[in-house]
Amino acid sequence: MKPISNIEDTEELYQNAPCGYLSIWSDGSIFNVNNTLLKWLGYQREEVLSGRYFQDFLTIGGKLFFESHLIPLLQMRSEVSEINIELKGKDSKKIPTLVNLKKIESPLKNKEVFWISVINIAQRNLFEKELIKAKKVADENSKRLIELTQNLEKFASTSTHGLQAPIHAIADLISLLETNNLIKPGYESQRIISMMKTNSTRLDRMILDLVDYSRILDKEICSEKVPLNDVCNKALDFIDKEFSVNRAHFIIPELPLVLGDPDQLELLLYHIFKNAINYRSEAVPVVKVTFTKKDKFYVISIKDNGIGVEPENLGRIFNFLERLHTYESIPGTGLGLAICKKIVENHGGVIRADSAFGNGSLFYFTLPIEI
Amino acid sequence: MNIDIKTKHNVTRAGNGSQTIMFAHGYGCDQNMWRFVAPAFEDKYDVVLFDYIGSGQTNDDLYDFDRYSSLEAHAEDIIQICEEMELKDVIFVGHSVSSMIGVLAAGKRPELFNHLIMIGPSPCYINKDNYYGGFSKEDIDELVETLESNYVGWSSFITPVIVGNPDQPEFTEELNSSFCRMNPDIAKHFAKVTFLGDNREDLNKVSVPSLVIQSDPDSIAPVKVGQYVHQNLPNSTYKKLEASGHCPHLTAPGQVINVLKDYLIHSN
Repeated sequence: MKPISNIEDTEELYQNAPCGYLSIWSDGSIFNVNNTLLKWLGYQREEVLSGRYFQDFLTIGGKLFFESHLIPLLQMRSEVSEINIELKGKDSKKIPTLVNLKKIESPLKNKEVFWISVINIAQRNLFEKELIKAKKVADENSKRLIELTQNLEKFASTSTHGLQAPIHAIADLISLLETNNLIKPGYESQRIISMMKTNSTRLDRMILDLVDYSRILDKEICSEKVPLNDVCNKALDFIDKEFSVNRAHFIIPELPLVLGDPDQLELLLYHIFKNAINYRSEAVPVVKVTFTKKDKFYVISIKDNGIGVEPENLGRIFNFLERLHTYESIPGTGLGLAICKKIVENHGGVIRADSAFGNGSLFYFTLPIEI
Repeated sequence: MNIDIKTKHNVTRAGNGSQTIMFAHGYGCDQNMWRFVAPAFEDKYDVVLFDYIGSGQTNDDLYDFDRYSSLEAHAEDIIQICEEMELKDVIFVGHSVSSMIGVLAAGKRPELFNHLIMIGPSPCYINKDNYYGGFSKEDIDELVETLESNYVGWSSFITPVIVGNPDQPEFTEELNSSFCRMNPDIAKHFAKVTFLGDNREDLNKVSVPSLVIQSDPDSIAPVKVGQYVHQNLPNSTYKKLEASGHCPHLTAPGQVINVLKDYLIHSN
């Protein structure tokens, strides 16, 4: 059997290798090129070896890259690989290629040699073009979505604010009727005006909650160190203003520092506290706050002694505008817990509820630990 | 917005001399391109390096596409750097597009500059009538298209893999990032401004002494173009290097340093 070197002719290997191959001096002038590359470029050997430079076969973008990046890199490193560069063949035919380059110490003084292997990637290039096209479409769509969302948010906040003024005017007018004794007791008009009053209050609450909700929608939270006790106290101030009678009993221990947006956290606790009072049982409301530490989070739990929720309804209570009771039995907007859920999610956490009907509710959520 | 000019342009300053030498990088590069040349001047000069807005470590948000639609805005930035840092008699060394930015700055405010040194300058890349710039309009359109479609090697997803010297991985990493970091939209815009520009009329407005450093061959700014710049600058010296390529300050830094020092000694 012949040794392999005799079967494989090195010249044959060079000329007809399945990749293009050329050798250049460090100024770019070509002194050797293989048949495969000549075939791809569509040139005769003499045309390429008659004082032509590698740069001559590059597009201007390629020239720029070659001059300002590739050659300097090669001077510093002896090898550069997987460079995506386009070669210009005869008749301006463009061939997308991946080239590997290697610096060789030359036998001639002050002149270095670069070996370049070339792989034709026309197929892969088509695929890449498709990818780029798809990415462009996706980019445009996401840009449009952002615009749409911004418009919607703007619409939501201006319309909710716009609704507040007339509803306040209606409430004021009803009070005026009452204070000036313009409502005749016992008449049908008294019943109707009382219904108007209930409904205007309901609408006012709804708008207030919608304003809160629009405030926290997709808002980038400004994270800072927040003492949870401060947040609880501020939330309780609002609760005090709203519920002058039947003030609930709050048991709040010393709470940790968390990382979050103080305004949003205040809103979160306000709504959970308010829920405990609104959905109270016969007993005086008792609300107990506790916390535990888990990995990088605190789990904050808030237990009340209210009417609780049937287990089968627990999945629904955080939904937007979802209510388990009629407004007449227990007033509410169906927004409070949706707001809570959104705020916790804005902080990268989760909120859950646990309850046995008639045995109070337990809300617990996670907040990031201040590091 | 009132951002400190040094932060805005990532200005770095080194050296002991009283006279300032300011090195300005070319298209698609940043001040790292001067790493082999600038240190050689620190013993005798106050060496100032910076990045153009949109290049290197500057904040992309500051790249105002309207304002930077001509090289004038970059020239104004240079003037602002000189003014706010109270630089006077500056030796300005510009590579490639920076040469014309230097021409514009020195034309406007000659009193700020002592010398204007250009490496691989071209006042106009496109052939026009009897003028030879080295490229056709189609070539330039093709460049913009290339930047749009595959973004050659500057894109973050076609980073060249550099082999060799595994004992200095951080150096390779640094090279990769400075060689490749340019926002594609800015790269495209800056390319248009650079390669579609025509500053031939501005050359004769330069009154400060100038030096044109040319390598051969240079496939971006050919010898003929360098000679044109020399002939049309009122007070210039021409020096051809025994080196090839558009970035001799990277590939033949020793020669560039010698030519610069030689010129400065003989002209001062």
